[in-house]
Amino acid sequence: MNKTPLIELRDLSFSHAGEQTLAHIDLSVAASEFIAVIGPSGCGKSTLLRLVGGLLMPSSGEVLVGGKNVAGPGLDRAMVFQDYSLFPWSSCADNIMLALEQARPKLSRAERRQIAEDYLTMVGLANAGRKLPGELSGGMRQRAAIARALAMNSPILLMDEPFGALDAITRAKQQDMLLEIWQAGGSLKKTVIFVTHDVDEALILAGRVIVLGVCPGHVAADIPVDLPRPRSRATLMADGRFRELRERLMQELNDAVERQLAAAQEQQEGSGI
Amino acid sequence: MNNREFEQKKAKRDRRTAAIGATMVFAVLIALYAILTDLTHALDPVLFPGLGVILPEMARSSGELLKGFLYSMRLLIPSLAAGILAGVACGLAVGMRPKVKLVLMPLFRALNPVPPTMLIPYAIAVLPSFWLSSAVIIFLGVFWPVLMSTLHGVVMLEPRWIDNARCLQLTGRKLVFKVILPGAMPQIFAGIGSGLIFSFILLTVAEMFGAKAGMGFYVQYYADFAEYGKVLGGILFLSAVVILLMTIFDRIQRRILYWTNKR
Repeated sequence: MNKTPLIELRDLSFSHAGEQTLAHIDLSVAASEFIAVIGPSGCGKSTLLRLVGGLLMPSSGEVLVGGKNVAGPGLDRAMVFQDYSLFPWSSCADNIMLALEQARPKLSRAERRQIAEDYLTMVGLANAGRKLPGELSGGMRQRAAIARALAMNSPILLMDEPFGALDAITRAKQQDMLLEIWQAGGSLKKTVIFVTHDVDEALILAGRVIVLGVCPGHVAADIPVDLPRPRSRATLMADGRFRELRERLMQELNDAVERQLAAAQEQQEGSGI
Repeated sequence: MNNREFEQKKAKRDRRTAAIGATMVFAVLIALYAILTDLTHALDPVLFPGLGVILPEMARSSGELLKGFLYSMRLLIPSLAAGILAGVACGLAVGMRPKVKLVLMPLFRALNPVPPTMLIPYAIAVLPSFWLSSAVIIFLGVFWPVLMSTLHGVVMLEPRWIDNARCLQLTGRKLVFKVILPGAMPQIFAGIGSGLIFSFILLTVAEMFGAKAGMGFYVQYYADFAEYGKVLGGILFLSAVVILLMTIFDRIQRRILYWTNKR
């Protein structure tokens, strides 16, 4: 790959209140790549995503998007958070229309309404446009949030455990939907960074999995997921290669957690003297 | 959705219970008063005239009461509206600028608890007309609670809404009207609620001081002549007006804050 990466993190570190959450992270993401960031809780994976999103500024190192330093949030990077991407006082359609007003200001009001409805239909919420986010179930709310992010037509999609709060069956359905929509993008596929703590989710969706280690957060492993696309859940679960990758990821995560525990213990013993 | 239907039915039942229950309590209180006055004459008939006196007096002076009502509203509504608008505008302007807020907050904390009633004699002396001095007093009584609650509302905005607004690059008027104002609305309404109650008190007190008409004036005027039938009639009428205005306020609040109980 000698193509210039779309997103590049160079020697990125982040500290907050005297505590280092991320240290010396180097990572490049090519255009149309779908990467999953996985790690135990407290490894700074959400922080990493917020740094790419421009909601946080690095303590040192740089975040480059399209070759330019990130100075703040931008409409080129649509974000989907765990359970709060929509304003609770506006209907789903109005939420999407507001995002469209910002991301694609040339559209007329009627066009915006039409696009909002199209994307809601695409995620299976054809009749929910007038509903407030609070009137929908958690899964439906996340669909609406994804519809909004897609409608904005941003080349980059940053997703922070978007299905983390959902029950297993709903989560599986949402993953299938996201996979289908992303695969349908053809040569114009969006570049996605997907933060999760679920190994299966990472393997089903992503083309590459980044495992973050803890204390402080660092790239512990960078594993390409060489499973053929288009993928579907049913075939993957029976796939030998999938199980192999799953084992390996589990092992990596396990190691990370063990190192975390060891470090914590060491610290405790140290303070006891 | 079934759940929603169930909730709607429950809300309807609750409303009916409240309406029937409240009416019954009122009826019992009125009956009690009638027993103590008209029926048994247990209370002093001059200080506590029976319903047989109060109701005809109310009917006879209905024109006067209506005039008083209109006069009071001409004072209340503009002062109330100005107090709410100024309170929200200043609250947003200051609340969105942390440094300005840091500087002004001690001043607000000092001025906020000064009772506007204390200012009535001085306001009447300084300002050219009675209407203006009363309007200023009511304005202040509404302004402070609305200002403080708006400031509080801006502080209480959920960080995720701010993140969301930043991701969408909302700025200026759009940021204010699409995110900050709606997000702070629950607190703002709490402030308007207490401002509203305060404004009734200040209105009637101001009218008792120096007005030539109005509901407070009516009560004060006939109390001077010991016509307690009219006094009680005036108080009853005033209470009805307050209940009406509070009902309108509740309706508006429920409509604007519809989203808060859908979360």
